[in-house]
Amino acid sequence: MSADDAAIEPAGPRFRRALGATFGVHVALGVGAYALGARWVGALAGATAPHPHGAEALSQIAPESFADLARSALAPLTFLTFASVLLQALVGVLLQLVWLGAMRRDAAGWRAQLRRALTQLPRALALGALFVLALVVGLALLGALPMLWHVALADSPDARLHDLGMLAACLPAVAFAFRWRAAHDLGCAAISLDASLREALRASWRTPGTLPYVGFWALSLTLLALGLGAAWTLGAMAALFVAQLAAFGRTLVRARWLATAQHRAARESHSRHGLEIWPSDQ
Amino acid sequence: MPSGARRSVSFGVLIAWLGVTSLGAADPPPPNPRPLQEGHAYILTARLDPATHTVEGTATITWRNESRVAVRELWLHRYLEAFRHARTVFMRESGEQLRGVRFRGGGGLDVHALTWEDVDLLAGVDDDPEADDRTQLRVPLPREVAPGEQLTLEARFTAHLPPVFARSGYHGDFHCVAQWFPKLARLEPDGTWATFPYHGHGEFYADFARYELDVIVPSGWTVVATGARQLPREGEPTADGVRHRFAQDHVHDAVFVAAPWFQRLSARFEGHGRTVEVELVHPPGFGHAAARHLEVTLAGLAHFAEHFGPYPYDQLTVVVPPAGADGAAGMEYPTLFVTAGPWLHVPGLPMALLDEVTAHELAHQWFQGLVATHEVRWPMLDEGITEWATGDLLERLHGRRRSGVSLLGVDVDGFEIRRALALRGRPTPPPARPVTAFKSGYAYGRSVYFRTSVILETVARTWGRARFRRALGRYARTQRFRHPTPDDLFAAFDAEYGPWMSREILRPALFEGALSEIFVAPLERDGGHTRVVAERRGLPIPRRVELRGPSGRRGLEWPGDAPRLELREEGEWTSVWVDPDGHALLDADRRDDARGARDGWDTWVARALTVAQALLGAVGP
Ligand SMILES: [Zn+2]
Repeated sequence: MSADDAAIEPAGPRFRRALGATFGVHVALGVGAYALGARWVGALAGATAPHPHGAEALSQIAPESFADLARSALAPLTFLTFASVLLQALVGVLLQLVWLGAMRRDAAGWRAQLRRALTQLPRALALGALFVLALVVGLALLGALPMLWHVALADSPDARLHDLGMLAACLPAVAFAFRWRAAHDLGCAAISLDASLREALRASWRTPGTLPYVGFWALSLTLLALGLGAAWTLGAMAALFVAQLAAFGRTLVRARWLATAQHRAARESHSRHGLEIWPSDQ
Repeated sequence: MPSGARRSVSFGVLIAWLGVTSLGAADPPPPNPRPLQEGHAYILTARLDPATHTVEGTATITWRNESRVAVRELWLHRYLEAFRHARTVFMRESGEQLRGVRFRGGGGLDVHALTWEDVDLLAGVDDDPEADDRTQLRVPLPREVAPGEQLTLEARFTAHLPPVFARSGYHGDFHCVAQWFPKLARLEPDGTWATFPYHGHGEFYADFARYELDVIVPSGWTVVATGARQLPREGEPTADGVRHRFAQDHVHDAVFVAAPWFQRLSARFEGHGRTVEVELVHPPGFGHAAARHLEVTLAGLAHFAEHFGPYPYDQLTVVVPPAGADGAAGMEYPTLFVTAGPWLHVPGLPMALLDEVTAHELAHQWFQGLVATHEVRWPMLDEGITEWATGDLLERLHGRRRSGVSLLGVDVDGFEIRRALALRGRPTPPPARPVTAFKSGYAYGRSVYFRTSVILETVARTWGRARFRRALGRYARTQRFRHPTPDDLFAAFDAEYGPWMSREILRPALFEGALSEIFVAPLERDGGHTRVVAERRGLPIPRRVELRGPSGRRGLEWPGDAPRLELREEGEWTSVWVDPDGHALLDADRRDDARGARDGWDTWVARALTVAQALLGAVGP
């Protein structure tokens, strides 16, 4: 970190400033997910009902239970996944801009933040469109690797060599997807600091943010697993408590990463342009 | 992999020892001592050309008329003709695919010469008894063959192997050469030929015979085959390759498998008065999985010998096929079977699912190899009993709870999976039918494999496993080297249980598809008493009933002759569970076998919130 960088506010204070907004985001999304959660629980109950010893009898009733669960719960899960993608595309970007706006040093009330986020939205959508294009092109290019390996080993009897090679050949695509996701967040963070589209693009690909992103992502996953594990093993009320805590923890981890992204985007701009860009966020 | 092999040997010996000690007081009938092979022999030669995937072969076939009447014709099968085009019986029945592998054409068996006492028989043959299907040859004879008379045929032929599709064929350099020579159908005692075209799901019914097999392959290739090696492992150089020779008495078919890259494991099984050399060949990369296949094979040799009589041959060969050769995978032949499964195997973490195919194909050595039923007429005696024996071995190896799946804390009983496959969803026909009576391969598999095995396991669990093994063991031992029918199976069971077993349980279940289903009504409580009402529809299978409550559990017996259970028990019981031990598997839905009090609304709200938060965490922005 150069002497100049010291002028940029670190991620910690940004994260703390936005705690209220983070809680709001958590509650808003939780209410949306509740209806589907109830549907899922209904499916879970229907799969074992009316057997009162579901878990104990699982070794016996698992075949029909899993079949019924797949029949009645796969549809809501698919819907939820698509709804989430759609939500990301429609209001997710706006929500993220408001969330990031709450992290700025000059963060104002939520009405002002929403107004500012709306002025930033066209740039953020344009950024998203360019990123989707990059994702499609990148995955198409990297997807050729496993295909080439498969063709090269078509006549080999050694299935282990083939399968491990395929796995290794897929790794660049996975790494690219992580890099892509981190870069997209960095670009959004720059836009949340009023950067232009060109500056946001520069910030997104110049700022090495992949490693911290992967770190926060792994932490999110661990918390999620903890919540799911609790739901299976603890009683209903204890499970609810642990799952709520784990889910909120997961939202906090995401907020902490966004704060990190905003700090990095600010630092990138600062080191390139001196102080005249984004005066509100020095 | 010498270390893997050594470990397997000690495991096998241990299991063998356990088997011997647990035999105890059981007094099984001695195995049938007289194999019906006198006068029957196939002397075969084969030269494999891996470039064209063809086999040039000759056959000297000795056959004796064992029926009571003179015969004027022979029936020969040439089953590779099933893969000539898409209009054969096999292709029409299988919809040009088998076990998910699609037909790609290119098979056939050309018979160039067929003579008896220097008379050309080929001129008079009828090679198309069924429209568009040349898998059978009707061969008129120049004179009658009297009962007890023996004849010797000479044949010269070319086998064209298809890309591996149904059991036979090639994949790259891997050549699985099965159903590759002209083979006689079986003559029944009344003088009728038990002949049939090659069906999608049935192929075996032949006389026990001596088989000798000479195979020539390019040098450096490995060959494994039915029978004991008569030459050193590396073979004997000839002008056009390397010769391998095999010979075996008392078998009803012979195959060989060849590839240049096979790796090898071996072990010796000792037990039940027998020494068996077990050889396993596998593609590179399959080392760990292969060691497990060998382990299961050795354990199975001991287990099946204990209950169904010893494995009578000196050697057993296991082939692990390469990825992509799925069409050849999971297939049994005398003294040799092709297993299946991925290369990935975590040592020390045995999964029943991965042992399944090896256990199944090994069980066929008894139920098909030794007890040689008519597979097309009575597939349940072949695949059904084999599937039961498969599950029985997996229970022994993994324990009942984990005999199906054991993954991430979820244990599933293997026979519960078979039950669900057989009985859930659309109704399956009863299993006691010929192969041709099933409309699809799916219905055939659900009924013949799974329904049969679930019927047998219900008997084993309800009236005791040791008793069941004695009954099936009696059938396996007395029918060894014979060609039994369901009546022989029922006779063995009735001898153990009494005539009610076949009359009230086995016949209705196997021939009519009878089930035994339980429906429990919600519990009713009044003034310190709990009322339990349950109903049974179908077979008279007794069950244990368990009441549960804050004060503990109480067990009751529900006898087989009462179709309805009505109890008024003292105390506040919270749930009732019919058949908590999971014995009576002939029930399409096990979830209504128990009833209890419902959970309160607060529990459901809490559960819904938990799931909501988990979902949010998984897919939120
Ligand atoms: Zn089978």
